[in-house]
Amino acid sequence: MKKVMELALGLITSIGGFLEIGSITTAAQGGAAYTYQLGWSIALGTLCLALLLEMSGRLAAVSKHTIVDAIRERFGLPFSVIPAAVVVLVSFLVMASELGGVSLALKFATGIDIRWWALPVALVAWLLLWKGTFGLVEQGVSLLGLVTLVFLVGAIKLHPDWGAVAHGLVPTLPKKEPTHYWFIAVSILGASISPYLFIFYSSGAIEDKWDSSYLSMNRITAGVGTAFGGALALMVLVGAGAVLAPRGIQVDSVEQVALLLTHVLGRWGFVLVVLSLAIGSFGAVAEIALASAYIVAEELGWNWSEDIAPHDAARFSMVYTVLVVLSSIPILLGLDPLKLTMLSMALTAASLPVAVVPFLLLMNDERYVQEHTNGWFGNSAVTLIVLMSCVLAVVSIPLEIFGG
Amino acid sequence: MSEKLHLVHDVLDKMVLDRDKHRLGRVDTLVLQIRGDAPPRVAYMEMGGAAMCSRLGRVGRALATWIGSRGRETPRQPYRIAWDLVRQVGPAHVVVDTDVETSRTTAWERWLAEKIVARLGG
Repeated sequence: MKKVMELALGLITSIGGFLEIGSITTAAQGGAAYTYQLGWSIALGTLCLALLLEMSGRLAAVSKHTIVDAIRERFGLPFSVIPAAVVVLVSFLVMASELGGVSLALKFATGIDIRWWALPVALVAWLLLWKGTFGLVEQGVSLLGLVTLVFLVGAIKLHPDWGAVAHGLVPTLPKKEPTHYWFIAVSILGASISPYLFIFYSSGAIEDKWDSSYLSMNRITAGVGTAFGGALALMVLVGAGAVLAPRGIQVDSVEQVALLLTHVLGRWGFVLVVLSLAIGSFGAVAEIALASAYIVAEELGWNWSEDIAPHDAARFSMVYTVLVVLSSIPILLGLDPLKLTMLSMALTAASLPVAVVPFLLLMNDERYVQEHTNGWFGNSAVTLIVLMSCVLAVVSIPLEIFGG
Repeated sequence: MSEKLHLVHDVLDKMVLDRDKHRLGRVDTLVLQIRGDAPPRVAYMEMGGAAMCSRLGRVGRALATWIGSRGRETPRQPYRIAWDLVRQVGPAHVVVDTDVETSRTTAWERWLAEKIVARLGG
Protein backbone atom coordinates (compact mmCIF):
# COMPACT_ATOMS: atom_id res chain seq x y z
CA MET A 1 0.00 0.00 0.00
CA LYS A 2 2.88 2.32 0.88
CA LYS A 3 4.44 1.65 -2.53
CA VAL A 4 1.11 2.37 -4.29
CA MET A 5 0.89 5.70 -2.48
CA GLU A 6 4.49 6.48 -3.39
CA LEU A 7 3.79 5.57 -6.99
CA ALA A 8 0.72 7.81 -7.14
CA LEU A 9 2.67 10.65 -5.56
CA GLY A 10 5.59 10.09 -7.94
CA LEU A 11 3.25 10.25 -10.95
CA ILE A 12 1.54 13.40 -9.70
CA THR A 13 4.95 14.95 -9.00
CA SER A 14 6.15 14.19 -12.53
CA ILE A 15 3.03 15.69 -14.07
CA GLY A 16 2.68 18.72 -11.78
CA GLY A 17 6.39 19.49 -11.86
CA PHE A 18 6.91 19.28 -15.61
CA LEU A 19 5.99 22.74 -16.87
CA GLU A 20 8.04 25.83 -16.06
CA ILE A 21 9.01 28.99 -17.94
CA GLY A 22 11.40 27.10 -20.25
CA SER A 23 8.97 24.43 -21.43
CA ILE A 24 6.01 26.87 -21.53
CA THR A 25 7.66 29.63 -23.56
CA THR A 26 9.57 27.38 -25.98
CA ALA A 27 6.42 25.31 -26.70
CA ALA A 28 4.37 28.49 -27.13
CA GLN A 29 6.96 29.95 -29.51
CA GLY A 30 6.93 26.71 -31.50
CA GLY A 31 3.12 26.67 -31.72
CA ALA A 32 2.86 30.35 -32.63
CA ALA A 33 5.47 30.14 -35.41
CA TYR A 34 4.85 26.67 -36.87
CA THR A 35 1.39 25.63 -35.58
CA TYR A 36 1.69 21.92 -34.65
CA GLN A 37 4.73 21.10 -36.79
CA LEU A 38 7.22 21.12 -33.87
CA GLY A 39 5.24 18.61 -31.78
CA TRP A 40 7.92 16.03 -32.58
CA SER A 41 10.59 17.98 -30.67
CA ILE A 42 8.47 17.85 -27.50
CA ALA A 43 7.84 14.12 -28.05
CA LEU A 44 11.52 13.41 -28.64
CA GLY A 45 12.63 15.54 -25.67
CA THR A 46 10.11 13.81 -23.42
CA LEU A 47 11.23 10.34 -24.56
CA CYS A 48 14.88 11.26 -23.93
CA LEU A 49 14.07 12.66 -20.49
CA ALA A 50 12.00 9.60 -19.51
CA LEU A 51 14.87 7.26 -20.45
CA LEU A 52 17.45 9.33 -18.59
CA LEU A 53 15.25 9.58 -15.48
CA GLU A 54 14.64 5.83 -15.47
CA MET A 55 18.37 5.19 -15.76
CA SER A 56 19.28 7.62 -12.99
CA GLY A 57 16.69 6.02 -10.67
CA ARG A 58 17.99 2.54 -11.57
CA LEU A 59 21.60 3.59 -10.89
CA ALA A 60 20.65 4.97 -7.48
CA ALA A 61 18.42 2.04 -6.48
CA VAL A 62 20.94 -0.66 -7.45
CA SER A 63 24.32 0.94 -6.71
CA LYS A 64 23.29 3.36 -3.91
CA HIS A 65 25.27 5.99 -5.80
CA THR A 66 23.99 9.26 -7.18
CA ILE A 67 25.12 10.12 -10.72
CA VAL A 68 27.68 12.68 -9.50
CA ASP A 69 28.99 10.29 -6.84
CA ALA A 70 29.44 7.47 -9.37
CA ILE A 71 31.06 9.71 -12.00
CA ARG A 72 33.62 11.01 -9.47
CA GLU A 73 34.37 7.49 -8.27
CA ARG A 74 34.47 5.83 -11.69
CA PHE A 75 36.26 8.50 -13.74
CA GLY A 76 38.29 10.29 -11.06
CA LEU A 77 38.50 13.90 -9.97
CA PRO A 78 40.30 15.47 -12.98
CA PHE A 79 37.51 14.32 -15.32
CA SER A 80 34.50 14.57 -13.02
CA VAL A 81 35.00 18.27 -12.23
CA ILE A 82 34.26 19.09 -15.89
CA PRO A 83 30.66 17.78 -16.11
CA ALA A 84 30.01 18.96 -12.54
CA ALA A 85 31.16 22.52 -13.31
CA VAL A 86 29.38 22.68 -16.68
CA VAL A 87 26.07 21.44 -15.29
CA VAL A 88 26.21 23.83 -12.30
CA LEU A 89 27.00 26.81 -14.58
CA VAL A 90 24.26 26.05 -17.11
CA SER A 91 21.77 25.21 -14.37
CA PHE A 92 22.51 28.56 -12.77
CA LEU A 93 21.39 30.34 -15.94
CA VAL A 94 18.27 28.18 -16.07
CA MET A 95 17.59 29.01 -12.40
CA ALA A 96 17.88 32.73 -13.16
CA SER A 97 15.33 32.32 -15.99
CA GLU A 98 12.97 30.42 -13.71
CA LEU A 99 13.28 33.14 -11.09
CA GLY A 100 12.42 35.57 -13.89
CA GLY A 101 9.37 33.41 -14.67
CA VAL A 102 8.04 33.69 -11.11
CA SER A 103 8.78 37.43 -11.04
CA LEU A 104 6.97 37.91 -14.35
CA ALA A 105 3.93 36.00 -13.09
CA LEU A 106 3.87 38.26 -10.02
CA LYS A 107 4.13 41.29 -12.28
CA PHE A 108 1.13 40.08 -14.30
CA ALA A 109 -0.81 39.63 -11.06
CA THR A 110 0.13 42.94 -9.43
CA GLY A 111 1.45 45.28 -12.12
CA ILE A 112 4.64 45.81 -10.09
CA ASP A 113 7.88 45.63 -12.13
CA ILE A 114 9.69 42.28 -12.11
CA ARG A 115 12.86 43.78 -10.63
CA TRP A 116 11.01 44.37 -7.36
CA TRP A 117 10.11 40.68 -7.20
CA ALA A 118 13.53 39.08 -7.84
CA LEU A 119 14.87 39.24 -4.29
CA PRO A 120 11.59 38.41 -2.48
CA VAL A 121 11.15 35.35 -4.73
CA ALA A 122 14.75 34.28 -4.03
CA LEU A 123 14.10 34.72 -0.30
CA VAL A 124 10.93 32.60 -0.33
CA ALA A 125 12.68 29.86 -2.37
CA TRP A 126 15.57 29.91 0.10
CA LEU A 127 13.15 29.70 3.07
CA LEU A 128 11.48 26.66 1.50
CA LEU A 129 14.86 24.95 1.16
CA TRP A 130 16.11 26.09 4.57
CA LYS A 131 13.07 25.04 6.55
CA GLY A 132 11.55 22.35 4.31
CA THR A 133 12.29 18.71 3.66
CA PHE A 134 13.03 16.94 0.39
CA GLY A 135 9.44 15.66 0.26
CA LEU A 136 8.04 19.17 0.66
CA VAL A 137 10.26 20.58 -2.11
CA GLU A 138 9.64 17.69 -4.48
CA GLN A 139 6.00 16.88 -3.86
CA GLY A 140 4.50 19.96 -2.23
CA VAL A 141 5.26 22.33 -5.09
CA SER A 142 4.42 19.70 -7.71
CA LEU A 143 0.99 19.08 -6.18
CA LEU A 144 0.28 22.81 -6.56
CA GLY A 145 1.72 22.50 -10.06
CA LEU A 146 -1.26 20.39 -11.08
CA VAL A 147 -2.80 23.78 -11.93
CA THR A 148 -0.85 23.40 -15.21
CA LEU A 149 -3.59 20.95 -16.26
CA VAL A 150 -5.35 24.15 -17.37
CA PHE A 151 -3.36 23.85 -20.62
CA LEU A 152 -5.02 20.47 -21.27
CA VAL A 153 -8.47 21.90 -20.57
CA GLY A 154 -7.72 24.94 -22.73
CA ALA A 155 -6.41 22.86 -25.64
CA ILE A 156 -9.51 20.63 -25.59
CA LYS A 157 -11.84 23.64 -25.52
CA LEU A 158 -10.00 25.17 -28.48
CA HIS A 159 -11.06 22.19 -30.63
CA PRO A 160 -7.80 21.95 -32.57
CA ASP A 161 -7.37 19.69 -35.58
CA TRP A 162 -6.15 16.63 -33.64
CA GLY A 163 -5.15 14.91 -36.89
CA ALA A 164 -2.77 17.79 -37.61
CA VAL A 165 -1.48 17.62 -34.01
CA ALA A 166 -0.73 13.90 -34.46
CA HIS A 167 0.91 14.64 -37.82
CA GLY A 168 3.21 17.13 -36.06
CA LEU A 169 4.62 14.34 -33.92
CA VAL A 170 6.50 13.10 -36.99
CA PRO A 171 9.54 15.29 -37.79
CA THR A 172 9.15 17.26 -41.00
CA LEU A 173 11.16 20.00 -42.67
CA PRO A 174 9.86 23.57 -42.30
CA LYS A 175 8.24 25.47 -45.18
CA LYS A 176 9.48 28.85 -43.91
CA GLU A 177 12.38 30.27 -41.89
CA PRO A 178 14.31 27.01 -41.39
CA THR A 179 16.91 28.63 -39.11
CA HIS A 180 14.23 29.85 -36.73
CA TYR A 181 12.54 26.43 -36.90
CA TRP A 182 15.67 24.55 -35.85
CA PHE A 183 16.50 27.09 -33.17
CA ILE A 184 13.10 26.63 -31.56
CA ALA A 185 13.45 22.84 -31.90
CA VAL A 186 16.82 23.06 -30.12
CA SER A 187 15.35 25.25 -27.38
CA ILE A 188 12.40 22.87 -26.86
CA LEU A 189 14.80 19.93 -26.57
CA GLY A 190 17.02 21.89 -24.17
CA ALA A 191 13.98 22.78 -22.08
CA SER A 192 12.89 19.13 -21.92
CA ILE A 193 16.22 17.39 -21.23
CA SER A 194 17.84 19.58 -18.56
CA PRO A 195 20.65 17.63 -16.82
CA TYR A 196 19.60 19.05 -13.45
CA LEU A 197 16.40 17.00 -13.76
CA PHE A 198 18.07 13.58 -13.81
CA ILE A 199 20.75 14.62 -11.32
CA PHE A 200 18.01 15.81 -8.94
CA TYR A 201 16.12 12.56 -9.54
CA SER A 202 19.07 10.32 -8.62
CA SER A 203 19.93 12.35 -5.50
CA GLY A 204 16.23 12.22 -4.57
CA ALA A 205 16.24 8.43 -4.92
CA ILE A 206 19.14 8.28 -2.44
CA GLU A 207 17.34 10.75 -0.12
CA ASP A 208 14.29 8.45 -0.25
CA LYS A 209 16.52 5.39 0.38
CA TRP A 210 15.55 3.47 -2.76
CA ASP A 211 16.70 -0.11 -3.20
CA SER A 212 16.17 -2.70 -5.94
CA SER A 213 12.53 -3.17 -4.90
CA TYR A 214 11.85 0.30 -6.32
CA LEU A 215 12.90 -0.57 -9.87
CA SER A 216 9.35 -1.19 -11.18
CA MET A 217 8.03 1.94 -9.51
CA ASN A 218 10.94 3.89 -10.95
CA ARG A 219 10.11 2.65 -14.44
CA ILE A 220 6.45 3.67 -14.15
CA THR A 221 7.15 7.05 -12.52
CA ALA A 222 9.85 7.98 -15.03
CA GLY A 223 7.97 6.62 -18.05
CA VAL A 224 4.30 7.36 -17.45
CA GLY A 225 4.77 10.50 -15.33
CA THR A 226 7.14 12.09 -17.83
CA ALA A 227 4.88 11.12 -20.75
CA PHE A 228 1.93 12.92 -19.11
CA GLY A 229 4.16 15.91 -18.33
CA GLY A 230 5.33 16.01 -21.96
CA ALA A 231 1.69 15.82 -23.08
CA LEU A 232 1.01 19.00 -21.07
CA ALA A 233 3.90 20.76 -22.85
CA LEU A 234 2.38 19.59 -26.13
CA MET A 235 -0.92 21.17 -25.07
CA VAL A 236 0.87 24.52 -24.67
CA LEU A 237 2.12 24.17 -28.24
CA VAL A 238 -1.39 23.16 -29.38
CA GLY A 239 -2.90 26.19 -27.61
CA ALA A 240 -0.41 28.57 -29.23
CA GLY A 241 -0.88 26.81 -32.58
CA ALA A 242 -4.65 27.19 -32.40
CA VAL A 243 -4.79 30.76 -31.04
CA LEU A 244 -1.65 32.64 -32.10
CA ALA A 245 -0.55 30.97 -35.36
CA PRO A 246 -3.75 31.70 -37.35
CA ARG A 247 -3.47 35.39 -36.39
CA GLY A 248 0.22 35.53 -37.34
CA ILE A 249 1.21 36.50 -33.77
CA GLN A 250 4.77 35.56 -32.77
CA VAL A 251 5.66 35.07 -29.10
CA ASP A 252 8.14 37.82 -28.36
CA SER A 253 7.11 38.35 -24.75
CA VAL A 254 5.79 36.12 -21.98
CA GLU A 255 2.66 38.32 -21.72
CA GLN A 256 1.39 36.72 -24.94
CA VAL A 257 1.64 33.29 -23.33
CA ALA A 258 -0.27 34.54 -20.27
CA LEU A 259 -3.14 35.62 -22.52
CA LEU A 260 -3.13 32.34 -24.46
CA LEU A 261 -6.23 30.80 -22.90
CA THR A 262 -8.34 33.92 -22.26
CA HIS A 263 -9.91 33.19 -25.67
CA VAL A 264 -11.64 30.06 -24.32
CA LEU A 265 -11.47 30.36 -20.52
CA GLY A 266 -11.92 34.11 -20.06
CA ARG A 267 -10.40 35.75 -16.99
CA TRP A 268 -9.85 32.36 -15.34
CA GLY A 269 -7.69 31.39 -18.31
CA PHE A 270 -5.37 34.31 -17.52
CA VAL A 271 -5.35 33.64 -13.76
CA LEU A 272 -4.62 29.92 -14.12
CA VAL A 273 -1.89 30.37 -16.75
CA VAL A 274 -0.19 32.98 -14.55
CA LEU A 275 -0.48 30.62 -11.57
CA SER A 276 0.98 27.81 -13.70
CA LEU A 277 3.92 30.01 -14.65
CA ALA A 278 4.48 31.10 -11.05
CA ILE A 279 4.21 27.68 -9.40
CA GLY A 280 6.03 25.74 -12.14
CA SER A 281 8.93 28.19 -12.27
CA PHE A 282 9.11 28.50 -8.47
CA GLY A 283 9.34 24.72 -8.15
CA ALA A 284 12.14 24.74 -10.75
CA VAL A 285 14.08 27.44 -8.83
CA ALA A 286 13.97 25.30 -5.68
CA GLU A 287 14.86 22.08 -7.52
CA ILE A 288 17.75 23.62 -9.45
CA ALA A 289 19.21 25.23 -6.31
CA LEU A 290 18.98 21.90 -4.55
CA ALA A 291 20.36 19.95 -7.54
CA SER A 292 23.34 22.34 -7.76
CA ALA A 293 24.06 21.93 -4.04
CA TYR A 294 23.83 18.14 -4.47
CA ILE A 295 26.36 18.30 -7.33
CA VAL A 296 28.90 20.41 -5.41
CA ALA A 297 28.55 18.45 -2.16
CA GLU A 298 28.66 15.03 -3.81
CA GLU A 299 31.60 15.97 -6.02
CA LEU A 300 33.63 17.25 -3.06
CA GLY A 301 32.49 14.64 -0.55
CA TRP A 302 30.69 17.00 1.82
CA ASN A 303 27.82 15.98 4.01
CA TRP A 304 24.51 16.56 2.18
CA SER A 305 20.80 16.00 2.59
CA GLU A 306 17.72 18.17 2.40
CA ASP A 307 16.21 16.05 5.17
CA ILE A 308 18.70 17.13 7.85
CA ALA A 309 18.97 20.54 9.52
CA PRO A 310 21.16 23.10 7.67
CA HIS A 311 23.42 23.09 10.74
CA ASP A 312 24.34 19.45 10.08
CA ALA A 313 25.22 20.04 6.42
CA ALA A 314 26.43 23.63 6.61
CA ARG A 315 28.50 23.71 3.41
CA PHE A 316 25.70 22.07 1.40
CA SER A 317 23.13 24.54 2.79
CA MET A 318 25.37 27.52 2.07
CA VAL A 319 25.80 26.45 -1.58
CA TYR A 320 22.06 26.66 -2.30
CA THR A 321 21.80 29.82 -0.21
CA VAL A 322 24.47 31.62 -2.24
CA LEU A 323 23.17 30.29 -5.58
CA VAL A 324 19.56 31.33 -4.92
CA VAL A 325 20.64 34.85 -3.98
CA LEU A 326 23.00 35.16 -6.98
CA SER A 327 20.32 33.91 -9.38
CA SER A 328 18.27 37.04 -8.69
CA ILE A 329 21.04 39.30 -10.08
CA PRO A 330 20.27 38.93 -13.83
CA ILE A 331 16.64 39.96 -13.21
CA LEU A 332 17.73 42.77 -10.86
CA LEU A 333 19.99 44.01 -13.66
CA GLY A 334 16.98 44.16 -15.96
CA LEU A 335 17.70 41.21 -18.29
CA ASP A 336 14.69 40.12 -20.34
CA PRO A 337 13.47 36.78 -18.87
CA LEU A 338 12.38 35.51 -22.29
CA LYS A 339 15.81 36.12 -23.88
CA LEU A 340 17.51 34.67 -20.81
CA THR A 341 15.27 31.60 -21.06
CA MET A 342 16.00 31.02 -24.76
CA LEU A 343 19.75 31.45 -24.18
CA SER A 344 19.82 29.11 -21.19
CA MET A 345 17.78 26.46 -23.04
CA ALA A 346 20.18 26.54 -26.02
CA LEU A 347 23.18 26.31 -23.67
CA THR A 348 21.52 23.41 -21.87
CA ALA A 349 21.24 21.59 -25.18
CA ALA A 350 24.90 22.34 -25.88
CA SER A 351 25.99 20.98 -22.51
CA LEU A 352 24.14 17.66 -22.79
CA PRO A 353 26.99 15.50 -24.18
CA VAL A 354 29.22 16.39 -21.25
CA ALA A 355 26.64 15.12 -18.78
CA VAL A 356 25.23 12.20 -20.80
CA VAL A 357 28.37 10.40 -22.12
CA PRO A 358 29.86 9.42 -18.72
CA PHE A 359 26.36 8.53 -17.52
CA LEU A 360 25.91 6.11 -20.45
CA LEU A 361 29.22 4.41 -19.61
CA LEU A 362 28.14 4.02 -15.99
CA MET A 363 24.87 2.42 -17.02
CA ASN A 364 26.86 -0.32 -18.75
CA ASP A 365 29.23 -0.97 -15.85
CA GLU A 366 28.24 -4.06 -13.86
CA ARG A 367 30.19 -2.81 -10.86
CA TYR A 368 27.51 -0.17 -10.47
CA VAL A 369 24.27 -1.55 -11.88
CA GLN A 370 25.06 -5.27 -11.59
CA GLU A 371 22.73 -7.27 -13.85
CA HIS A 372 20.59 -4.18 -14.45
CA THR A 373 22.83 -2.74 -17.17
CA ASN A 374 21.15 -1.03 -20.11
CA GLY A 375 19.60 -3.35 -22.68
CA TRP A 376 20.02 -2.77 -26.41
CA PHE A 377 17.06 -0.39 -26.47
CA GLY A 378 18.34 1.71 -23.58
CA ASN A 379 21.83 1.79 -25.04
CA SER A 380 20.65 2.67 -28.54
CA ALA A 381 18.30 5.29 -27.18
CA VAL A 382 20.96 6.92 -25.02
CA THR A 383 23.46 6.75 -27.89
CA LEU A 384 20.86 8.52 -30.00
CA ILE A 385 20.46 11.11 -27.24
CA VAL A 386 24.23 11.63 -27.14
CA LEU A 387 24.50 11.95 -30.93
CA MET A 388 21.53 14.28 -31.01
CA SER A 389 23.05 16.31 -28.17
CA CYS A 390 26.33 16.62 -30.10
CA VAL A 391 24.49 17.87 -33.17
CA LEU A 392 22.49 20.25 -31.01
CA ALA A 393 25.67 21.56 -29.43
CA VAL A 394 27.18 22.27 -32.83
CA VAL A 395 24.09 23.89 -34.32
CA SER A 396 22.62 25.70 -31.34
CA ILE A 397 25.25 28.45 -31.10
CA PRO A 398 25.06 29.65 -34.74
CA LEU A 399 21.29 29.15 -34.64
CA GLU A 400 21.14 31.32 -31.57
CA ILE A 401 23.05 34.06 -33.38
CA PHE A 402 21.22 33.89 -36.73
CA GLY A 403 17.87 32.46 -35.73
CA GLY A 404 17.14 33.65 -32.20
CA MET B 1 38.33 -6.35 3.21
CA SER B 2 38.91 -8.24 -0.01
CA GLU B 3 42.26 -9.86 -0.58
CA LYS B 4 42.94 -7.93 -3.76
CA LEU B 5 42.56 -4.18 -3.51
CA HIS B 6 43.09 -1.96 -6.53
CA LEU B 7 44.06 1.34 -4.99
CA VAL B 8 42.94 3.56 -7.87
CA HIS B 9 39.86 1.50 -8.72
CA ASP B 10 38.66 0.67 -5.24
CA VAL B 11 39.92 3.45 -2.99
CA LEU B 12 40.85 6.69 -4.78
CA ASP B 13 37.93 9.18 -5.04
CA LYS B 14 35.71 7.08 -2.79
CA MET B 15 33.60 8.67 -0.04
CA VAL B 16 35.14 8.33 3.43
CA LEU B 17 32.90 7.71 6.45
CA ASP B 18 33.86 7.99 10.10
CA ARG B 19 33.21 5.21 12.60
CA ASP B 20 29.60 6.39 13.02
CA LYS B 21 29.08 6.44 9.22
CA HIS B 22 29.16 10.24 8.91
CA ARG B 23 30.66 11.65 5.71
CA LEU B 24 34.21 12.95 6.16
CA GLY B 25 35.13 13.71 2.56
CA ARG B 26 36.66 11.85 -0.38
CA VAL B 27 39.97 10.09 -0.83
CA ASP B 28 41.59 12.85 -2.85
CA THR B 29 45.11 11.38 -2.99
CA LEU B 30 46.87 8.25 -1.77
CA VAL B 31 50.45 8.37 -0.49
CA LEU B 32 52.87 5.44 -0.59
CA GLN B 33 55.86 5.25 1.72
CA ILE B 34 59.16 4.23 0.15
CA ARG B 35 61.11 2.14 2.63
CA GLY B 36 64.64 1.54 1.35
CA ASP B 37 64.85 -1.94 -0.13
CA ALA B 38 61.49 -3.03 1.30
CA PRO B 39 58.42 -2.80 -0.96
CA PRO B 40 56.49 0.51 -0.79
CA ARG B 41 53.43 0.49 1.43
CA VAL B 42 50.33 2.66 1.60
CA ALA B 43 51.01 5.25 4.29
CA TYR B 44 47.91 7.44 4.30
CA MET B 45 45.01 8.96 2.40
CA GLU B 46 44.89 12.72 1.88
CA MET B 47 41.70 14.74 1.78
CA GLY B 48 40.54 18.32 1.38
CA GLY B 49 41.03 21.30 -0.93
CA ALA B 50 44.82 21.24 -1.19
CA ALA B 51 44.99 17.50 -1.91
CA MET B 52 42.23 17.83 -4.48
CA CYS B 53 43.80 20.80 -6.27
CA SER B 54 47.14 19.01 -6.49
CA ARG B 55 45.49 16.61 -8.98
CA LEU B 56 44.21 19.34 -11.27
CA GLY B 57 47.25 20.22 -13.39
CA ARG B 58 49.64 23.14 -13.03
CA VAL B 59 47.02 25.68 -12.03
CA GLY B 60 45.58 23.25 -9.50
CA ARG B 61 49.02 22.57 -8.00
CA ALA B 62 49.67 26.31 -7.67
CA LEU B 63 46.31 26.64 -5.95
CA ALA B 64 47.15 23.71 -3.66
CA THR B 65 50.40 25.42 -2.65
CA TRP B 66 48.51 28.65 -1.96
CA ILE B 67 45.88 26.83 0.13
CA GLY B 68 48.59 25.10 2.15
CA SER B 69 50.61 28.26 2.81
CA ARG B 70 47.89 30.86 3.49
CA GLY B 71 49.07 33.03 6.38
CA ARG B 72 51.60 30.46 7.58
CA GLU B 73 55.36 30.37 7.63
CA THR B 74 55.50 26.61 7.17
CA PRO B 75 52.96 25.21 4.72
CA ARG B 76 50.25 23.09 6.32
CA GLN B 77 50.03 19.49 5.14
CA PRO B 78 46.76 18.30 3.60
CA TYR B 79 44.48 16.43 5.99
CA ARG B 80 45.80 12.87 6.31
CA ILE B 81 44.29 9.66 7.57
CA ALA B 82 46.75 6.90 8.31
CA TRP B 83 46.06 3.73 6.32
CA ASP B 84 46.15 1.83 9.63
CA LEU B 85 42.87 3.53 10.54
CA VAL B 86 41.02 2.06 7.54
CA ARG B 87 38.46 -0.45 8.77
CA GLN B 88 36.52 -1.26 5.63
CA VAL B 89 36.70 -0.64 1.88
CA GLY B 90 33.16 -1.24 0.66
CA PRO B 91 31.54 -0.80 -2.77
CA ALA B 92 30.48 2.78 -2.01
CA HIS B 93 32.54 3.91 1.00
CA VAL B 94 35.80 3.68 2.88
CA VAL B 95 35.17 3.49 6.62
CA VAL B 96 37.88 4.80 8.94
CA ASP B 97 38.27 4.66 12.70
CA THR B 98 38.02 8.37 13.43
CA ASP B 99 35.35 10.88 14.47
CA VAL B 100 33.77 13.58 12.27
CA GLU B 101 33.35 15.90 15.27
CA THR B 102 37.10 16.21 15.83
CA SER B 103 38.30 15.73 12.26
CA ARG B 104 40.26 18.62 10.71
CA THR B 105 38.71 17.87 7.31
CA THR B 106 35.32 19.07 8.53
CA ALA B 107 36.69 22.03 10.53
CA TRP B 108 35.28 24.69 8.25
CA GLU B 109 31.95 22.87 8.06
CA ARG B 110 31.78 23.30 11.84
CA TRP B 111 32.94 26.93 11.55
CA LEU B 112 30.21 27.68 8.97
CA ALA B 113 27.62 25.92 11.13
CA GLU B 114 28.49 27.95 14.20
CA LYS B 115 29.26 31.36 12.70
CA ILE B 116 26.76 31.63 9.84
CA VAL B 117 24.16 28.86 9.68
CA ALA B 118 23.26 29.17 13.37
CA ARG B 119 22.70 32.93 12.92
CA LEU B 120 20.38 32.25 9.99
CA GLY B 121 18.25 30.00 12.17
CA GLY B 122 19.47 26.72 10.70
